[in-house]
Amino acid sequence: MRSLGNNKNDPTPSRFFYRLERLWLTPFIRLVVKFGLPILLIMIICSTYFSRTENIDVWKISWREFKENIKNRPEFLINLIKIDGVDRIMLSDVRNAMNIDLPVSSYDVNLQDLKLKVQLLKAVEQVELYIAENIIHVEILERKPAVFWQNNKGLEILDANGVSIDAAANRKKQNNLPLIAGHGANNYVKEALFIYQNTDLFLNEIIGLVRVGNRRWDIILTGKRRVMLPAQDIALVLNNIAVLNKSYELSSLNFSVLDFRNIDRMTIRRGKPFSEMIEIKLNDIYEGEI
Amino acid sequence: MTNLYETQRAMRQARKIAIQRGVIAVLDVGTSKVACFVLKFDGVKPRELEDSVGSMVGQADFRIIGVSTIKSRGVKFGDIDIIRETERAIRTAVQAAQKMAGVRVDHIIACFSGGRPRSYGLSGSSVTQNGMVDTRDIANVLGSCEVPQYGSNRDALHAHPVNFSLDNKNGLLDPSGQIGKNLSVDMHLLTVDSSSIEAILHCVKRCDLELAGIASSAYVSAISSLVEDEQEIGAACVDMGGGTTGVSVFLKKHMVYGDFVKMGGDHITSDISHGLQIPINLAERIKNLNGGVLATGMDDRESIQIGGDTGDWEHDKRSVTRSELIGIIRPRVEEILEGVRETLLSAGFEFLPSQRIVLTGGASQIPGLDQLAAKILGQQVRMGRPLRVRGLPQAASAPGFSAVVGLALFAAYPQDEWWDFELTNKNYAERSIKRMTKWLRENW
Repeated sequence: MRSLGNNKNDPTPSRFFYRLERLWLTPFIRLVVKFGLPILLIMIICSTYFSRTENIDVWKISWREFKENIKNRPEFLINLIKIDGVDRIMLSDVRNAMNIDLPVSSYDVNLQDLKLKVQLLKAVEQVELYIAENIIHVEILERKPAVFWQNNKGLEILDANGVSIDAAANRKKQNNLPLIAGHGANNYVKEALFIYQNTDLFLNEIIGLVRVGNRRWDIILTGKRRVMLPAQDIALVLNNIAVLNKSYELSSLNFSVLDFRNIDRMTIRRGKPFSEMIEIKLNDIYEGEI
Repeated sequence: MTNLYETQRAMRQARKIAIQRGVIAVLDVGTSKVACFVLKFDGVKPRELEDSVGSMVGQADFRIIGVSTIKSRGVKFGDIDIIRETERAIRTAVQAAQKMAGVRVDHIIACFSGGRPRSYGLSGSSVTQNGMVDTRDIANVLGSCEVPQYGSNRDALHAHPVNFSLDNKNGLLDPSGQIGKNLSVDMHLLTVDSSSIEAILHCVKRCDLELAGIASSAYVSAISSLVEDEQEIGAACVDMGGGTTGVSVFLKKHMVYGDFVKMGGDHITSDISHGLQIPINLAERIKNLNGGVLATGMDDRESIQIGGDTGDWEHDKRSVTRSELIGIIRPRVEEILEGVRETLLSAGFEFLPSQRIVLTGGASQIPGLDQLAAKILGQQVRMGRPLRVRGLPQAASAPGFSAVVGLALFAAYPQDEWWDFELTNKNYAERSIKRMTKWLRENW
């Protein structure tokens, strides 16, 4: 009998391969082999690799380096800070406030933070920051000095809103600014400026304004003279003063105090040497005008 | 018989499970080829198919998704001769079909043509229990059939209830629900050698598959190649295979007779091989290319190179005329057809209302066979091809595939057999009483 066993030309699959093929056609096995096993293998490899802390560190470092490389590309580097709207003295203050070492990557610049820092400067009213073409643009709207404020700590420069800009040792630098004084005067800077603008009478004789009792203003004139203004209706009083001045040249009068605190009853306190003259003049006023 | 009843019921159960899973394989173990189809039951109704091929005769809720055909090995006259060889052939076929289908197959329905099938007509009668026939009555009447002594080494392959009669009414296909008293049945029983079934079971088990049914190839090829009216008014299907020629007679859509002629296409090939002194595979080739059964004058002039590669010039340059070839083929074909005529005679075929004979199977493709068959079997001979089913490739629509296509239909729409009914014979009641007494004896 011919051997039935080893026939090399037999196309029949062996029982093992037949079973393997059937196993392969089983949907669950197929799923496991095609997806489950590769995923498991990758997970095993990853977990064994990352179970050593050195390996984690290597990856951390290389990741950091990668990030740094991207950050420090010339496209992202900032070489210049351009500050607009301030004078040269302020410039260094702003630079110091921003405290940036150039060149720096734009990823390391926090514009919000910088804006807050610059805004903390007293002289800055508004600031806009933006980055364009590797330059940080800082556009500052500076506070304009409006008055000197003499308080018990010293001399300060205020802007029109009464915000302190700077402390000043003396008034030499900005001689043209008016002077105000008194507790709470800084909250009424606008009123003070209004008084200055509308008092053409003693323009060259005004030394400053004093806030009295945080309630009303006194105009201090040279020669220890003063004009006392009421708490309200300043505009009306100033107008009256202008009218009076036109008629009687108040400035030429020898007085120590012009008291307008009560609108209905204005009072002039005489200076000593000219007391008579004043009396005559005042009599005229009361008889003729009012 | 009870043992077989249980096996058949188990196979029916396996078939149900397979259809629920949606995939089942059918396998035709023939003498010359092993064909395997993988069927997918997708539940598509015939009407939902807007297919250009037209009506599928209601056979549309499955689809063939895997096909493989290989040369058979170890099979002789339809019987498995060398189990290991046949197992390999089945394994190859199943694997190829599985691979084409892309799904794993666990259940298989097989058919074979061997095992010396014999058919018996059985009859039985019983009295209905409460006037109206129900399934239990049908089971009773089936159980009351007198089973002939067909031998201890044989098993029933098919047991179809063919005809019921209730009192005076005859010719009932399904008596359930009818009112009557005396119910009787005619049953057709087809038996084959137990060893053939066991060999197939063994092969299938070795392939890690579960057998979900087994059928005679004469029966299933008739299912696929007889049209409906032929099955109804009576026809014979002659399945001319490689090793055997199966004959089945159908009446009223049931097989009423099955037999076989122990000759087939392989005998023609071996005749050519002997007659022309050529190897078997060359003989097969010459038969397929130049075969025929009717010689004409033209055939005397057509010479066929039969050669060889012995190195002997005289031997290698031989040729024969086609007439000589036909002269070898024709006597054998006549012998087969005469065998068929004898089986039909013994079946009483001439008493059927219609004498239609359908020739199918691989060997029926010999040119001129229909004319020769008409001379021997009668005028109503036609060539049969398998029914169209969805997914059937063109290559598998030849007559040689009518058995495996029929097996697919058998898998999808099996006819009721004896084992589809609950066995409610008297033994069962006796057994339960016996069990009860045994239990009482043991416990009291």
